Amino acid sequence: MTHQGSQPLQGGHGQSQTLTSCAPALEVRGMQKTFRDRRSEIHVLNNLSLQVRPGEFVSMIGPSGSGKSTLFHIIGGLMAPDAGSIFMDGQDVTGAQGRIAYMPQQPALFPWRTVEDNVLLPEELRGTSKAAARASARDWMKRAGLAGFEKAYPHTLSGGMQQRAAFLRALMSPQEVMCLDEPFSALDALTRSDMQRWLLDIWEDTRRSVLMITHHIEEALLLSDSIYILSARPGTILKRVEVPFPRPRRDDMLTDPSFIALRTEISAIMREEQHKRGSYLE
Amino acid sequence: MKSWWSSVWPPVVAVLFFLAVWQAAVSLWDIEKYILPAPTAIGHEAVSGASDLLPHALATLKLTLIGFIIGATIGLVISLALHMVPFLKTALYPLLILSQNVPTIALAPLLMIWFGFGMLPKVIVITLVCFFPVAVAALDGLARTDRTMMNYMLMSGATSWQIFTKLELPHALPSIFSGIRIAATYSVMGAVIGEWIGSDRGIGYYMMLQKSGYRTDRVFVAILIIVLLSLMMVLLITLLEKRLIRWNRKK
Repeated sequence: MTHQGSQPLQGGHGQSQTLTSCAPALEVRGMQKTFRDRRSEIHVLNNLSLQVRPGEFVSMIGPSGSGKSTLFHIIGGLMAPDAGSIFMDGQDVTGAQGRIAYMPQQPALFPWRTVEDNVLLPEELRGTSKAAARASARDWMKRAGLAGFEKAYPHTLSGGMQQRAAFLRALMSPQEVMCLDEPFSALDALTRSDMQRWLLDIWEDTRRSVLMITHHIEEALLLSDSIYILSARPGTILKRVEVPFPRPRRDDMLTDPSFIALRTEISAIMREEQHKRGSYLE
Repeated sequence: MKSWWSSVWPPVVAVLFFLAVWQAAVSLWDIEKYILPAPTAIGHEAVSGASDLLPHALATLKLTLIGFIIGATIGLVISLALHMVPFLKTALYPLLILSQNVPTIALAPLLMIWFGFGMLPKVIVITLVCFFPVAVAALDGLARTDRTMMNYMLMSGATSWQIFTKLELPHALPSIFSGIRIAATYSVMGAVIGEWIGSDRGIGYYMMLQKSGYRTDRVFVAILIIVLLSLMMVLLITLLEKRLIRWNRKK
């Protein structure tokens, strides 16, 4: 499963070309959100802006409680922002549902559906016939190491396999932008690094536009084209980091001095943020 | 197989022990048959009276099934309506709970006055005892839809009909079935009560008749049949559940 990224790119275009002028696949502008109840106000997002260009893999990294999941809920149209807007391909889609392919933190596969029917769910929601999508779903499942589990129910799968199925479900969604909410946070370290490698290979073949939340600096560096570092609450962008490494990314990148330098720099920013706010233990 | 046996034999032994004590007590203290017949006497009566009992048992079974199906269906319809129209739920749900403070049995004589001695009042009694557990369990199951799955559906742009059929309903199914299982046992009770109050056939009627004649052994046979009917209903529901819920929910 962890082949070394030696496959030729089917997308064929390198990073520098994908990042050209056309409208961002996803743009968040001036996002503000405060949760209020009778007693208290929690200011969660403060003038947060970011961009995901077509075919770009973008990560958001930040301390717990910096409003990352709230941002996803706003992008997905589950809640309205107090101010700010979401643009996709230059169109204002603030509050619209069904514009993103979403992978939640828990796999949230439907236990009454077989793995295959879970992966085909987005097709069903779109109203296209499952039969037409079945062949490509089978293909992807084979690549995800899920061959032979098509008719199995999710609870019979390991955590890593469930996550892969949940990822495929997002991948099979017709929406261009994928939003991954800490996709690997529930996995053990070994499975996690396997899954990162696997995701990297699949993504480098498909080149969807991705916005991923993570806590994990190395994961962000390994996978992303650019990284947004979030502040503690109220969440705002502290810094945007371009990740300069060429694609396909290789495993030996992890020991590259410039990789280590970048990792150190990001972790210094994050540590400083946590100290400043003293909010990590919330 | 071995573990199955090890979980089955203790209750079986307990029942056999209980029957043996009963039998011994009856012969030891020479208890009158009309007060407490021995298990063997009851068994004997069950065999010899079987042909008389069969039509009564069938009548009760028919009544039970009709009332149960109507009651469970009404319970489901009510829960779906309340679930889909939140205003209805806030308005009617407290009333639904309150309605359970009215003992259904107390209504039965009233129903006989209004609807006579035919099948209708008995079906209404069974419906009244059956709809509630189904409605409450279904409403509860529908309200407890997994939040993450719901967010996934909403973010993916699912319509509310898709959310209902592909998420809420299957998610609530185990809960609905636990309500239906309770309703199934209640339905037998409802049928017997209905027959007590006014009927010319059925196990309930047979019980009343034998009680008047101090045929305690036959009353015991009737109780045995009621228990068997209840077990049969539960078995039926369990089989249906196994067919419909293929996934294994381990919590």
